[in-house]
Amino acid sequence: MTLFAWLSSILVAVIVLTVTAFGLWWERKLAGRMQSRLGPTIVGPIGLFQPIADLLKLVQKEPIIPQRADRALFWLAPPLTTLFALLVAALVPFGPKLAPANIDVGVPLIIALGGLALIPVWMAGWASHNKYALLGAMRAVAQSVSYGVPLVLTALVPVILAGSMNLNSIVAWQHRHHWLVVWPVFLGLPAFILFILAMLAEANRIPFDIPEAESELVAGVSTEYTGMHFGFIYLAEYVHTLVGSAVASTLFLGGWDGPFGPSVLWMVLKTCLLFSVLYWLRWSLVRLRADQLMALAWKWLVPAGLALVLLAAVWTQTPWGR
Amino acid sequence: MTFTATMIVFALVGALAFVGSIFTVRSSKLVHAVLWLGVTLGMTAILFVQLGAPFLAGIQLLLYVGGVMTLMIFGVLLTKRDGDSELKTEEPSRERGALIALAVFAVLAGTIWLGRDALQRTAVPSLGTGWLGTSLLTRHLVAFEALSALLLAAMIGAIVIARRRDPDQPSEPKES
Amino acid sequence: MGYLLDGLKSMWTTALNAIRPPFTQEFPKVLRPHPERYHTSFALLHDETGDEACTGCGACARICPSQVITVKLGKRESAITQKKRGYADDFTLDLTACLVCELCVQVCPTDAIVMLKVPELPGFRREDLVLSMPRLYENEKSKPLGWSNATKLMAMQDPKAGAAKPEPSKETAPAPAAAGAAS
Repeated sequence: MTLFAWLSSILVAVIVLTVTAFGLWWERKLAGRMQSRLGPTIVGPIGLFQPIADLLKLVQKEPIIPQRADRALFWLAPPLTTLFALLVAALVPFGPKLAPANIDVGVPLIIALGGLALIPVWMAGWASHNKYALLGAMRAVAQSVSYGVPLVLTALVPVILAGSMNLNSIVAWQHRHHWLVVWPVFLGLPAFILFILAMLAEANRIPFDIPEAESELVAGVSTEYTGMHFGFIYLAEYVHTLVGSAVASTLFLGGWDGPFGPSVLWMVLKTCLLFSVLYWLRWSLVRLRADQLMALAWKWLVPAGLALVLLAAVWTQTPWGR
Repeated sequence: MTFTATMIVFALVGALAFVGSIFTVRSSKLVHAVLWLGVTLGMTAILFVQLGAPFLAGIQLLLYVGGVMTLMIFGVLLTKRDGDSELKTEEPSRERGALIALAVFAVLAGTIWLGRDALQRTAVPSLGTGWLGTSLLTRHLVAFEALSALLLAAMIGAIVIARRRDPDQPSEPKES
Repeated sequence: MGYLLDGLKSMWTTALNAIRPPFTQEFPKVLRPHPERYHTSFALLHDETGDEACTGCGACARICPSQVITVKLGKRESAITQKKRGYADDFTLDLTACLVCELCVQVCPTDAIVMLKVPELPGFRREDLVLSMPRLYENEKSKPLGWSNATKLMAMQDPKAGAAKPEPSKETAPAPAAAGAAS
């Protein structure tokens, strides 16, 4: 590995973690304002250091392990959830040269790693030896399997149009032509919306958060977790959503492509905007029922995804799509 | 013989895959066995990357670690929870299993040993994903389509088996 | 389809909320105006001669619904008027269980106990909310007293006298400085 590769990897890790910490504050502030509250105001100027205070509080707390829990898996699962969520960030290009892992199979690998993130969640639920945690884990598995299919299908649309599975090449193609949501809009926009929906479901966020539905399952998978273990699971959800937004902006919103200025800023800006929209959704929508969730995936998203893939393939053969 | 970083990583990953496979067989808890299998499959994916086949690695992660593991998890979750009971293999089948494993190992080792000259002489061709796709849809089209038909048949068969019911019982009420 | 429409509607609502000013007022920094007869904590008063007004009769302790008042009766000669009379040797009021019903103020024969316009600030120990006799007399000096005392409240109950008019108060919100001094 060259020095530049090392530096860019570190830079991307710093970007992701900073945006995550800032995102925690931003989400609470946004949620507050959407509910006519103020959000955090006390810790630091306009409550900016609230995530640090939260972290310190979580670290101080006692880790409690249930007596009949599977100790090894119980300890291992939360850090792994965060690790798998962060792994995906390594594949996202933050600039024409700022791509830590610029490999040819970026798209399938990202989807594979996103699917892997499910395994520690399931481990956590199973190891807790708690019926609510196990129910949550089971729902997470079922949901992830169902939504993996539309996720792959919609991610195939940019792959077909750009003719590459390398994320950086896809962005470069959008740089040369148009952002995918701009043109061809009848392919890019629906694929983008479907991708966002499938990604939200994969990350177990509202309105698809049935694995931790508070009103039914206490806290689902994280029921038995305390202190920093809970912190890891919580962090993993944030990172998953954040990295998901980054991937979606890479695939559909032109990634690091912007009219002026440094490309990293454009990428971060797009990611944060998409992140905010996801939180807007989160604080507005109500949770779907498990059967509605499955119906949405298999009756709407999968057929629509298949149709989009077919259309994209046809479009590349027309004179305008070349 | 000098040790490069690649070799060290190869040795570590290989060792982990080996340990993972041992524990997959030896674990007394079903869930642990499934997770150790996941470790083995994941390490195999890393070995694929080292061998210059990143696409294969991605597919390995997507299908085997992601898909097959998930199916096994489903199996574990949908069957009776016996997380606290110990799995044990009966003596005769253990011996038979060892014999079969030894035979497979002998065949593999023998093949590698006999072909060692060819292996050393041939440089690994670095062929991209594009080449793979083109050759699947041109040269190996018939085999490819036959495989798809086989998978389709298996899927339909699975659905038919899953949906078979007693003729006396009324069918499920229609979803509203 | 219904879900989609409702979802869009609720997204519109949340977006509007995000633009509107928040409803929240930050309590210790911004205080809402209190009504005229707002009352929270307690004080013990001195009478016009400068002596302690409490005679230690214990009427407040007896009427208190949650029994948070303890009075110890003592008899001795007054240092000011040289007359022998009753005193409270000890007077304790436990605010942690107080209902703020104001009954103790109503029954006091000498207008000795009154309530305050400003709350006690929260503390870190239970003892911080137990008002001892020195603290009650300290409250008389340092904090704005509430409107009511036993005489005024009795007058309100008298059908012949008619309702007593609350004094027109200039102060609608207690000054933050007074709230700060209570800590």
